[in-house]
Amino acid sequence: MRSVVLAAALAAGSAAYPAATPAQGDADAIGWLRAIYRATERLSYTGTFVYQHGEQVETSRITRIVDASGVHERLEALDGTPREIVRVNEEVKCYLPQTMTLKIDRQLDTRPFPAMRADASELADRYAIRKGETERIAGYDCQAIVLEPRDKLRYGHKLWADLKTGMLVKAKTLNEKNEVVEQFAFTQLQIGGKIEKDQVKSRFAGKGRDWRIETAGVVAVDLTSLGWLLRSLPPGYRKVTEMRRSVGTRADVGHIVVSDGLAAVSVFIEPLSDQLRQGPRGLSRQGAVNVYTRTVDDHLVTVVGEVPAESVRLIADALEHRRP
Amino acid sequence: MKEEQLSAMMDDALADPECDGCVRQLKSDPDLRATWELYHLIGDTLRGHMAPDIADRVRARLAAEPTVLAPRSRRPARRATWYALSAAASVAAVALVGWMALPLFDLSPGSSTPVAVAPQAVAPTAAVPTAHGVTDYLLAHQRFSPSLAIGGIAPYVRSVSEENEAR
Repeated sequence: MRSVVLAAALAAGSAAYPAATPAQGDADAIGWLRAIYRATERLSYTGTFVYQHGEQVETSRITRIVDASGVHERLEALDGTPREIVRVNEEVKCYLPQTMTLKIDRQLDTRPFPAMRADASELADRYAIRKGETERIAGYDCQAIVLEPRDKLRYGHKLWADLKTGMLVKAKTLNEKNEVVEQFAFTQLQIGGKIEKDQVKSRFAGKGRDWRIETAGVVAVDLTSLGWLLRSLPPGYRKVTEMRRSVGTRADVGHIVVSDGLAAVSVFIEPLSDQLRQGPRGLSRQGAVNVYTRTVDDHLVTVVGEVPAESVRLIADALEHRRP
Repeated sequence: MKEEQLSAMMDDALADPECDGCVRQLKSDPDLRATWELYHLIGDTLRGHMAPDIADRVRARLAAEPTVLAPRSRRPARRATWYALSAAASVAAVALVGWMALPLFDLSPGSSTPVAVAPQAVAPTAAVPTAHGVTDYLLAHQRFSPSLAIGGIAPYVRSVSEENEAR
């Protein structure tokens, strides 16, 4: 996956920020966002990080190799049941050995998130962006970058990037009370240097004969022409892409992605089966992700995103169906 | 398992004789020392401290006086159940308790956000149920979710993490 945000912010280029006005944030801080984005695109690294949300703390190992053949990545959960996610360029495979399930997702095209056109000045309309202190994390001297939301419809972010390479070493998501919603921090990290190719290969690859394979089967589709439209989205959010796909074992699920240039929210739409008719409605939460479920015109609508509860609800309520 | 002992020692849950053995092993085994340092780093990182010089101090003290690591009070040895994180959790206990105790969201209707529809429909934080069966949605969503901007597949850790909880 790409750092959509930063891609969006940085694609605009420095010409987009003639001067650091309050509305546009700190140009130097925006320069740092650009550096982080470039680093995440081009660097090879291997390390161990902790991911914490609520009372849950998990350790994972991640390795990324960028070479002539493209991007190879492997993410491995170190606590509990072995679980792995392996990416080779645009194909992402998720190995869940406990249920012997292999989930395969493929991006439709290889360009940076095509519909994400928000430029950095627009990002600065939603977030106050500034440089923070420098700190040492996992052995690296890092620059902190703070993104403070200008309203309560999005979370704040604090990012720590290695001073030398721009590599993101730590990231925190904060709510409006400045409480940590989730955080990510490397405890050990090697940037560049010799990284064995074995480290980006799944240890389950080739053993999957008896595994159940679920393919996302993503197809671009115009959901508006099918009568699904989002009206009156919360300020700053807009539709960036839509598709039809499989979700788990259920095919033909409509998927709309909404973003404010930094946070992303997914809207899933699927016909109500007997099983889905039973499920709960309203707000629920999974870690840092808020979920809002409602029924619209005999369809189940599920909205998920790392945004405040109010935002998933407003986005869910914005969905309308007009019979074509 | 050596790591378990190490973790237990950090939790002050290792009997003296085992502790001595552990310290001897720490002195002779560079890998184990690296693990010990990693455990401290996990705790420090979670607390938001910049890898202070704990590991350096431990190293120095190991060289000078191994017994400094022996627990002050003797408690029956208990099995460290989750290895590194057992230690990390105890080190980071204060921070974690803080995060756990605080409600994540303020949904008070008095907010300045455009509350178009019935704000009271949103339950207060304490009543927000845990979402179940959303792993597939999360996996589908993660690819578009940039906020953990480490990039690449790192955001998938959220959905993988959920899979773990769902067991």
